[in-house]
Amino acid sequence: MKTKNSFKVILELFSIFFYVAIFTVGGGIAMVPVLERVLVEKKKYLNKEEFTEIFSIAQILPGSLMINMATFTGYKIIGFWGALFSCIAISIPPITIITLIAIFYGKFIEFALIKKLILGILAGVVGEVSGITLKMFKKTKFDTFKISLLLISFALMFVFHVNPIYVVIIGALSGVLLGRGY
Amino acid sequence: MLLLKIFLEFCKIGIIAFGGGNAIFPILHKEVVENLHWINEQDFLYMVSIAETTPGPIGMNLSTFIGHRLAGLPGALAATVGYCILPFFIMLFVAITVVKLKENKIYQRFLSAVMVVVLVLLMRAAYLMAAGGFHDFRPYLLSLVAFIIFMKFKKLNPIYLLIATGLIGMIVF
Repeated sequence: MKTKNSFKVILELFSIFFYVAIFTVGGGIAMVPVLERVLVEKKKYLNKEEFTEIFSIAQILPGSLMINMATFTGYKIIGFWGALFSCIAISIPPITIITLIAIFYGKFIEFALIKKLILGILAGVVGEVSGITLKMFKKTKFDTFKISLLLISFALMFVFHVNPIYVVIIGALSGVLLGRGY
Repeated sequence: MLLLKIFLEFCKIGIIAFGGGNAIFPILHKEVVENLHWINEQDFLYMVSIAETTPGPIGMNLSTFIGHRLAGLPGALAATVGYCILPFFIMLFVAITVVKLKENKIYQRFLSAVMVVVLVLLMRAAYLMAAGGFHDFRPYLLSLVAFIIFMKFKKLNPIYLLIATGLIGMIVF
């Protein structure tokens, strides 16, 4: 990052997070595939491991995934100002859009075509999130412990409907006690 | 001071909203509808349905919406900033700490286990989005196509793919 001056980097982060936020439909998770491709593969600001780390930590802390990811990414790349401006960037689209809707009292969200557009984007998001899951899955070096943890977490969340935060805590503790690291 | 009250209330909600999005509905409902009587039941449900189908994180959308209802644009800003500010500083603090922990063995074990759980969280997120929003086979089919294109074309910006699926949705749904 030394070759570019930091103002430029902050500006670039701002614009990335701004347009990513516009396309975040169905919750913060929608931004993950987009960010991975832009930050890791195109701009090479982060490597794959760093991105997975950011995503994992952001996911398990309180607060919206998007705010957490923007803060962590921004900080990791360029420090405090990167974190702050990335956060401001992702806040602008939702604030603008919701304020407009609040003023017009949802007249245009009732509009059938908009609903179809949003559903189409959501379908795309589901496809992309599945893709990024598969990519992360392939990259994980599975040992006996990780396979057991994967199966147990899956059962807890999908079969027993345990609150994900407890599954994260159980997983983290068992990892510290029994895991082997990467 | 209504604005200050809104700000502090959403600070509180931001910090207890673990897992983001859907996790905050019951919390917000309890606070804003049952305890404070800021919003009535029917309006709350309406706001949730809007927040879920508009761009942006669901919790942030809801905060903006409720804040706007209470005190216009200043209210919307107070609620949204309140909702984001504590997670921002917590995340920042954790980021600063974690950057230094890179070589720490215990942190590596912690992180590698959390990454496995996060895989399941991703599957769950995709499942919940599909189960909640897809009413027939067509969105599933579109998702499958998006999945294949996403995996095949590594250079494609995923946003263009989302624009394309959105436009296809307008035509075929």
